[in-house]
Amino acid sequence: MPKNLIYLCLLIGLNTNALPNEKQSVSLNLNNGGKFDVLYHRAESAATGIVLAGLIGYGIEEGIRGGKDGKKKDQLLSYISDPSCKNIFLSSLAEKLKKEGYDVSNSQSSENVKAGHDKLSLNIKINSCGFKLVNTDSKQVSAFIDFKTILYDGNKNPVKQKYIFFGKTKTPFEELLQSKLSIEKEFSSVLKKAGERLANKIVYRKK
Amino acid sequence: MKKIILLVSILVIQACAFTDATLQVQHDESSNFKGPIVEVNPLLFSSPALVDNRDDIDRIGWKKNGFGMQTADITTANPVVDIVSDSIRAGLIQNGHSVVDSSRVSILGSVDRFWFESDMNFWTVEFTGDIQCRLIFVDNNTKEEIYKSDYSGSYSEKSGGGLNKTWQRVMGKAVDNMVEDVMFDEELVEALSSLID
Repeated sequence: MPKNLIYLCLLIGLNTNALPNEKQSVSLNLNNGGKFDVLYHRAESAATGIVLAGLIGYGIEEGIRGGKDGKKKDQLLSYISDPSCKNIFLSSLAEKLKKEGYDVSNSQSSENVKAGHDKLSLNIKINSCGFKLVNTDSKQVSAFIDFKTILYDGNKNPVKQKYIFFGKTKTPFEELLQSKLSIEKEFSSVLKKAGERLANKIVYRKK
Repeated sequence: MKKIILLVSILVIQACAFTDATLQVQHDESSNFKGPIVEVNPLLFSSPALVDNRDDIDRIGWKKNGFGMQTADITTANPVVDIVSDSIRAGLIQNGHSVVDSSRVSILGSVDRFWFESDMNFWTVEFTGDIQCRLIFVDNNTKEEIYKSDYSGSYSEKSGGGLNKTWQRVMGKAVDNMVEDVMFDEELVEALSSLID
């Protein structure tokens, strides 16, 4: 083998080793932190009120349902130390992305993301989190988080998606109240899993 | 004359509420189901063998009139267990696994909920699809259960109104989200990765 060729191979090998291990960066931008809520009576239809008394009937029925949900919300909140939708959700999202080798930062805007740049920006808008009626027949509730995202990945069109994640456990509301300890556990578990899922959606996205 | 046309139109629309609707629900072939399960060494799965464990096996939802009264059934053209089974199979294949008769891992379980709900608000109607199933993964070499979990997929959208095509789309997206729930389950990935040849 000619000496020059050996030298060239060695040079390429050295250069490859010298390349820094580049991390893909992703900036997270939270537009709305959302609020803890219980959607139980409001998850049932308000159609009768609409037909019987139009807009006023709808308003009255929704008001009554909202009031009943408010009471349920207060009952659950007394067992939850951190009712924030964003804290556990965002920390598990960032943690998972870092674990997958991403360089995570917080950003206030997505203006710095332009087509062709190797940078991702994720806008997150959390609508609400808490507990929601998931089975109108058996009256079971599950912990949930409802949010929307816009991912700017350098392509012309950003990827918009909406998510609603439910916990694995479904329980009648009264049983959930009696279980006390599992209220916080179920709530924090769904926030954590949603954060990890969103991170995986970035990791395994179509490129 | 105009009044007669209006009256006839209202009667036609009302009559629609009393006829059953059959939806062609299926997963979206173009959806990206790739998730952490792609990291597991390619495995041979059997096609999911699921039982229908729903509370109401005669319908997947109700057609409702303006009073919210149930007027007719909403059903699917194919059995719901087939819809769920086909979609899981598609998800596994997209993630590099195979679905064969002589498999390493059997998938058993049940479809516990496959429901379409329409909730009328004043200006809009909210359509919601909700699918829940339980999957049990069995190692055919040892005949032991290696993992069991409940999975779900929900999707909802608000619009001024909508008929069969909208309902099909909503249910199809719920199916996609259920498949994603399986393919993104990291505990399942861990259980499958621990299988020894």
